[in-house]
Amino acid sequence: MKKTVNVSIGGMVFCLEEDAYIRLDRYLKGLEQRFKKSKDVREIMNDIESRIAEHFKERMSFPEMVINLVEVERVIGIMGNPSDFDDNDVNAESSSYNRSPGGSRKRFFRDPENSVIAGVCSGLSYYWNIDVVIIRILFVILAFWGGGGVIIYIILWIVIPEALTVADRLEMTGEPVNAQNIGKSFDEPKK
Amino acid sequence: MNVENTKAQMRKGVLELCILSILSRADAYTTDLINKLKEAQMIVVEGTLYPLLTRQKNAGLLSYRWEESPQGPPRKYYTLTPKGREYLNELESGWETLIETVNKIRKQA
Repeated sequence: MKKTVNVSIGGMVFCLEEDAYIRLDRYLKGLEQRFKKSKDVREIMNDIESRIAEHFKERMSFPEMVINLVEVERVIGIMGNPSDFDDNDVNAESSSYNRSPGGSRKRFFRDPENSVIAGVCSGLSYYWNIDVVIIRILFVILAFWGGGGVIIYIILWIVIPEALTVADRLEMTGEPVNAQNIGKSFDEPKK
Repeated sequence: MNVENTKAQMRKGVLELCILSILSRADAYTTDLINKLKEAQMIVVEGTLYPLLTRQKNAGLLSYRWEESPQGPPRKYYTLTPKGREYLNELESGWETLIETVNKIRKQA
């Protein structure tokens, strides 16, 4: 069972699975970023969205069909990644776009699968790329040293969302959300 | 050096000519253009065509109109403007000269 998201693309309504939605949303943002310097960014993005809608429509054998990540990856493959557009195409002298295709970006999550209390330290360790043990020791020291660690921990516990879905986990670890990685995390036995 | 890369650069150079040439025969909506160019292996990914079309339109070589489609949203139909036709004529003569010179050089070698 998966959550779905309803979106309008090129003036048509589509129902996307959550991971497919995240992937498509990032892809479109990546493209928009690429065309940012062109004054026609809106027009180009509208044209591209219409074409994406056409591709989805062609594949839908019945109107209620839900679009999954595999289909989104297929269409992205046809349309091309932001790195396929050279600077001449985007009317810009220099480009600041150098993120990986799909624009992987880390987000702060608590890691319930690798937790002692609520997974705050584990989440921090992914975000900062520091060994979780070091962060835990720091929190324990802060806890004894006036109790600050306990308060900070509780605040972070409340503020930071838990990584519940596969897409959340990938965002937490900073891996791009795509079909291979989602598949990989299902294949790998969970720690 | 990468031979695929060089080939891609060559295609890119004449892509503008190809777009104008297709439109000189009949108006087309973007998907028609994409299908023709893909068939001829002139483009690999579809997305790259959109910025180019917008640029040609802004340069006054193309204009477009919206037309209802039997299914889905209205489609953008591109037309060659008189200025575009002139531009195409120049590109075509440039292309002829280029083929001639390149062939001459290749045969000499």
